[in-house]
Amino acid sequence: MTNPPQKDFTHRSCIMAVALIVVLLAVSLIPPCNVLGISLRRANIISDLVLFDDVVADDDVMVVEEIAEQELMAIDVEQIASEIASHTSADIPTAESRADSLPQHQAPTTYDWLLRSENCGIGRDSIFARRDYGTVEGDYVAVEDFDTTGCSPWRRFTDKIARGESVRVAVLGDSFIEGDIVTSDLRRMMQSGYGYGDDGVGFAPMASPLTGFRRTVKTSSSGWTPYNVMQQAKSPESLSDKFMVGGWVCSPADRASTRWEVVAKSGERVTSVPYADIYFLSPKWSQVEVTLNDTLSKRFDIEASPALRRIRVSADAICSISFKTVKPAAGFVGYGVSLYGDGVTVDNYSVRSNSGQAIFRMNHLLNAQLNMMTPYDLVVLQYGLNIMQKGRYNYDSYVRQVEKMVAIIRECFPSAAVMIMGVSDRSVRSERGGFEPMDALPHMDNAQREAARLTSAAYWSTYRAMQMRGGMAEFVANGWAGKDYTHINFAGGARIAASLYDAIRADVHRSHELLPEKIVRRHTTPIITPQVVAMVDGSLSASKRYNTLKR
Amino acid sequence: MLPAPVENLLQTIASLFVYDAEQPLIFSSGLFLFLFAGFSLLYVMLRRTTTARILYVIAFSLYFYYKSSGWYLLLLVFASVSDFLIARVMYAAKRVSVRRLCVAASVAVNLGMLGYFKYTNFLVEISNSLFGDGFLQFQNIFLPVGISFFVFQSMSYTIDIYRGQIRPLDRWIDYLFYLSFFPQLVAGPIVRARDFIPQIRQIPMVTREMFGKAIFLILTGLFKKAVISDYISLNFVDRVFDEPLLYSGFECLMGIYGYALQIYCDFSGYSDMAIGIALLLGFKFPKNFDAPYHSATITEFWRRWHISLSSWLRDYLYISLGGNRKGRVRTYINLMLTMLLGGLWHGAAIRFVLWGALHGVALALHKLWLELVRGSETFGYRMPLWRRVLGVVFTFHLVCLGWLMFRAENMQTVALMLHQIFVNFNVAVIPQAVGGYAFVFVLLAVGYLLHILPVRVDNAVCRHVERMPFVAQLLLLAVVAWCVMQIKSTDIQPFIYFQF
Repeated sequence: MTNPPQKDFTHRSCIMAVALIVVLLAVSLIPPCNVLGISLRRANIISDLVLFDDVVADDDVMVVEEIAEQELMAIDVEQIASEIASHTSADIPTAESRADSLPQHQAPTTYDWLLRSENCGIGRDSIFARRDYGTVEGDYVAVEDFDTTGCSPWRRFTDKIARGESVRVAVLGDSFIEGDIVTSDLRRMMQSGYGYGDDGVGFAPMASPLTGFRRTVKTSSSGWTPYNVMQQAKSPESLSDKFMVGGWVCSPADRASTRWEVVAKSGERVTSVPYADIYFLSPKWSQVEVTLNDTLSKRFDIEASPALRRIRVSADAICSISFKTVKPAAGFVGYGVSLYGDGVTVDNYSVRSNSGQAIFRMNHLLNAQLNMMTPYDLVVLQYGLNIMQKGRYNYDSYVRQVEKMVAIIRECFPSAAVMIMGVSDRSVRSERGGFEPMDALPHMDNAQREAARLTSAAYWSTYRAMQMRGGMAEFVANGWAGKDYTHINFAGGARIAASLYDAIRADVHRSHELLPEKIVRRHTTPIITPQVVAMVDGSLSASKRYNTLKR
Repeated sequence: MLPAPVENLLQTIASLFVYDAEQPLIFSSGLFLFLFAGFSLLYVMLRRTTTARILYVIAFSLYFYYKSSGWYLLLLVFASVSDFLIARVMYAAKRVSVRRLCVAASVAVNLGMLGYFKYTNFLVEISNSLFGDGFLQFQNIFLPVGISFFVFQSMSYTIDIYRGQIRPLDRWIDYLFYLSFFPQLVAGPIVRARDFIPQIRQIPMVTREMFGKAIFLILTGLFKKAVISDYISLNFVDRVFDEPLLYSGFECLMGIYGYALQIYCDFSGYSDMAIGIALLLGFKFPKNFDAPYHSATITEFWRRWHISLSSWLRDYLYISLGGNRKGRVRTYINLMLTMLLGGLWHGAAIRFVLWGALHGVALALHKLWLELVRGSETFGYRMPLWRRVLGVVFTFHLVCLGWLMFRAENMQTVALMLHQIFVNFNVAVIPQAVGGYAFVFVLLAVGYLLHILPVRVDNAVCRHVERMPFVAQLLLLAVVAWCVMQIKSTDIQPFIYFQF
């Protein structure tokens, strides 16, 4: 008995493929829907040919905004202004001499530790000063200054740079700039253009889970419990009103310590800074210890005060600085350190998941005290990603929030110009499975521009700057941004910083051209010894650099 | 004059048929389904006219390659001409020296092509790091898709003829058919000439079992490649490897486990689809992956992982180097060399060489262990249960260490990942991380659970699909295709950080 010949099923491949196409074409007609809370898209097999006009909005972000809206109603800018006015003074007292105008316990106080040698100070006329007053060649996205009075804060800022004066910039933002992304390169460029080439790395928190991510400062800390302003509700009640512009407060254990080390980028010279300001609160008497370059230590007795405290260390070359609580008092709060120089300082104050509402939750008095100690010339507000959502085109309520943010910032930092740095480009899935810019982007960009116009602030469109470089899809393709098509990395940050620097440079050039008397920095002949050079520039041998300078 | 919308539509359709570097043709795309439907219609009609069928399949295969690599399809044609002629000359030659010369010429041509297109810039990079930046200029060289596969296939043909294991084909179109056959063309499996050639001129015959098995393989392949692998890579694994310091040690560890699953699902899924599509056309390919993470030893792993490559390396590289016939020391050296070159085959970067070195050392140590320790076994099924479980866990983590080196951009990333895992594991974030990346973790769990299932369960499900009525098979395919489209169009999971 033989087996019957097997049936051939070759033809079934074709029938199966055609039948599958028919079924999937039918499925393509099912519109997007929500099943058991799961959002389902249209499964469009012919998306290359036919697109449906589906809009799927994400509701998650609305919650964030509604909370912010409630907070908004409770914030009275005038009250904040009067509180700040009654608690601050024009002079910052030191531990030795206090401002007469304030009760002793309320005054922000600086404890100085001066170690800088007289002949080490590289003055403003030094040949190390960089002055880049040239024009910007090629296309760039300009800063839009909505204060048309002719003496706007933004103009004041660029004039100050054009006059060769030192400037301080604070960049408040969200996870987009976390870890010193954008700001590290902006700082480097501004210091190269208008500073002394190496003016420090700005603010670094006392402790945070993200310190390892930051490349410009190496932070090692122990004994601190950090709390984030966006998780204010989870922080101890005693700390909930202690958040400053940095967004982090750190509560110490019996012995808490932090060591910061200035890190040079690979291939760049070894970095050190002349100044280190350590910020903290000590509501009761406490004792702390500061160690310079792991060798020299000094203990400070800190008097009880609810006001901001600062230990200001100045030395010829600060490569690392350590801070330790020897006898911490109850309620002691650590903020962080600012490592800076004589030229341009750019502080990165990033708080993730934040659309700017963190500003409402900060202690405005502490911010004002910080500004008294080290006045800012520019505050940049980089927000928007956490509020923008697909399919949403109306951001009027957010405009109102930004107006209030700007008002509060101006109360806390009256010396500073305010620049709104617009929302960055963000790509989302297209129906075809590729990526396209989120439809809400132009609307958010316009809303933030409108907020700048209403507050007479300056505006810079990050979105347009990124579009000029090909947009987010290009950033991801080039390895400049993460695969969420939302966050850039350090390489992407360098590109955006370059665009922002071009915008600043263009306005500085204009300011320089319009100065009553053009201050052209002549190469005077300072007394430069090889030792001085070596202190500033660790990577070149002193004699080699000296010879170079002489030529 | 056609109305503008119709004209636009026609233009769009026309553009879909042109090579687009951004969108190579892959099995999981909608375009492939349409093309395959059209192709299979004529294929059935030509099944009994051998030459016409061969020419037709070649034309479709070359078009398939054109859609992936543009006019570099000429390289494929060149390889087929070159090795076809060399093989003819070699077979006809009486003298051993001529035969040797021929096989050397074939190897030189094939490795020359591979070396130029794949390794030129790697050599430039090495030269520049040795002699300073700018010593050599980087070249703008396009890497033709699948070159590593068809070059190895072609070499297997000439080497087998040199060894007298097969005789050369009489017609060039048969050889071009073998080399360009589209199911395995761009991502394997590496089908040996001796396995494939006998099937070329047979009238295609697809039995009910073959058809059902093909559907099962396409189903599992699609699910593994286009659902599990694509989703977890984009939404979790890539971002962890990009910036390990933004994630806790737990997330970094899950990133490595995720990558182990991703690379398996990606590779084996595409292989499954290739084997399934070949089955639909009446061609049988050998299994390429055999539940590799079931391995209880590293030697067993290499019998289960990318079998067509590991057996190719064994037969054409390890044995050519002398295998284990030239003493113990040479055996270990040959093993290391084979794995180093095997690592380099995967990509032109030091990290792939290091990955190969890790596996080479592990294989050598296991070989030594087998010689020194009585009762030691190569395969898990011969071990007591407890030793098998321990072996599987150990081997899996050793392989994961290899994947860490394989995936990380540089050794600094390797160090950071390990630092996070061993220093900053952060148990407290586990519930948040699992909740925040819920779908990623669901897919991870599903992927590993399906992998852990005994092979007999896999076979039982396959037989069940084989026996299913046509409509049920169709609906199953439609459901998986729908899942693929959902995954493809769903919004990317936003970054979630739990290290507050």
